[in-house]
Order: sequence, then structure tokens, then C-alpha cells
Amino acid sequence: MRITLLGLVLPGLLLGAQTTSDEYDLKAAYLFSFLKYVEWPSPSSGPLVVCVTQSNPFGSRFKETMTGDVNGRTVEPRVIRSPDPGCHALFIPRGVAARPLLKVAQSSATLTVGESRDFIAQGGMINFVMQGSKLRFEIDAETAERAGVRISAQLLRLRLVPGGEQP
Amino acid sequence: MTSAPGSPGRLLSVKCGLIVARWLAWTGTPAAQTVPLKQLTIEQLMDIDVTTAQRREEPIRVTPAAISVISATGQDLLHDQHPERPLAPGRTEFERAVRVGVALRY
Repeated sequence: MRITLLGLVLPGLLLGAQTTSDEYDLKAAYLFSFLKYVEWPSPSSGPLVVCVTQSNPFGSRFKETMTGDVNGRTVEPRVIRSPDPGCHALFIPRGVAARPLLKVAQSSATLTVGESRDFIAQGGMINFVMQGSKLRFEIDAETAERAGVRISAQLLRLRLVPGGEQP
Repeated sequence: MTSAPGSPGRLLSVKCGLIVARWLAWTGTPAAQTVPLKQLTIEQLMDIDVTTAQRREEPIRVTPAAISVISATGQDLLHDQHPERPLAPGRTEFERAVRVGVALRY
């Protein structure tokens, strides 16, 4: 009887998913995952460069997370001191002046990801938003398209509509 | 359904209990709990609760405090002398006391 109960309980415990995480661990994982759902205008066999500004809120986790391959391309982390047209994706933390970075990103087909309330309004493409204790994201697909960054419908389906609920 | 102490059934139950306890202790370590988040799908990431809004470790003296302790019997209120209405020692006013609190200083 007890062994039967044990057999019922153990698989559930073993399959139990992680349910909590640090904010920036989670944002780094999202950022890495976003790369799988994005196409850039000039495909190449070179690395996918993922940038963060020098104020890097991820700390060492940034380089730890931004390693490996995505869609057959090696991911390369880069911490930037000034706008860098060589970034495929750029995380702009809150508190950083976004406009100069977004201006360069828009002309160099860089996927921009932020976490400020007005990030989308300033011309950002993906913005993290807290919804209760869950981390969600808004996407401005038009801004991305204008820059030549194509975001898959699969990712768009999961986004929060700015100022509204999920579509 | 109870087994006598020392019986084979009882020993088996104890052994199973020990195995479960050791397994739970093992999974309680951070290394075992940490599934690489980047291996999860977006949908799975969306199910995870954020545990903290802090960006990094910081000294407690610069961490926003949720609680401020204002001592009516100590020096806190005596030091918060209003220029027009000096607070007499031993007298407390709620609004004045709240203003002393770090988070509500204005």
C-alpha cells in the first residue's frame, strides 16, 4: 500500500517544473529564447551577437546564458559602452537613455529588448512587463518590421498587447 | 494495516522512507533545483514566478525598507523638531511620527 503510494507520488515530484526564478535569470532566458523566433534581414553563418549596455543588470549571468547555438548559429554575448551596429539583439536596462541606442538599432536591424514603461513608445521592439508575479512581454511588430527584423507569429501570439490583455 | 516492530514489512517501510528523505534532501540543493532556464520554451518561462525585483545584491543600508521603527521614547521625535510647532518631549502626534519614517519623508 505504502509502496503503491510512493510510486504515485515520486513521478510527480520528479516531473515537477521550476516555478520560481530571479528576475534577471528569467529575463536572460527570455532574451536567449527570443533569438529562436527572430529572423534578421541578412542571414549569415556568423555568430548572433547579443548585446547589453555597460550597466548590465544580469551581471555574470549574461555571459553564462548567452552561450550555445540558436538555429545553427553561435550566440556571442557582448557588453557595449556605446551604440553598436554589430548587435543582432540589444537589451536596454531601465534607467539607460534608450533613444540614441534605439536610433542606431533601428538602422542596423537590431532586435531591441527593454524593461521600461515607455520603451515601446520610444521605439523599442520588445518590452518586459510584470503581470502580478509573472514576467510578460509586449511587442511592437511594426517597429521591428520597419527595421527589417522579422518576429515569428508564434512569439507574437504570446505577447501582451500594450495596455491590454493577451491577444 | 500496521506492521509489528522489526517485521519485514516495517523494515521495508523504514527503508523506503529513508530513500525518499535522502532524495528530497538531494533535490533541495540549488544545483539540483536549477534547470537551465534557457532550455525552457517561452510558454514555460511564462509560468515562472519572479522571486525578486532587485537587480543584484546590495548592502541592506541602501535597500528600500518596508518597515521603519520610530521610537516615541527615544530620540527620533525629539530630533524632528517642527520649526513652528516644537514637539514637547514625551508628546506624540501620529502625522509627525509618520513623517519621521524614512520612506515617507517629504
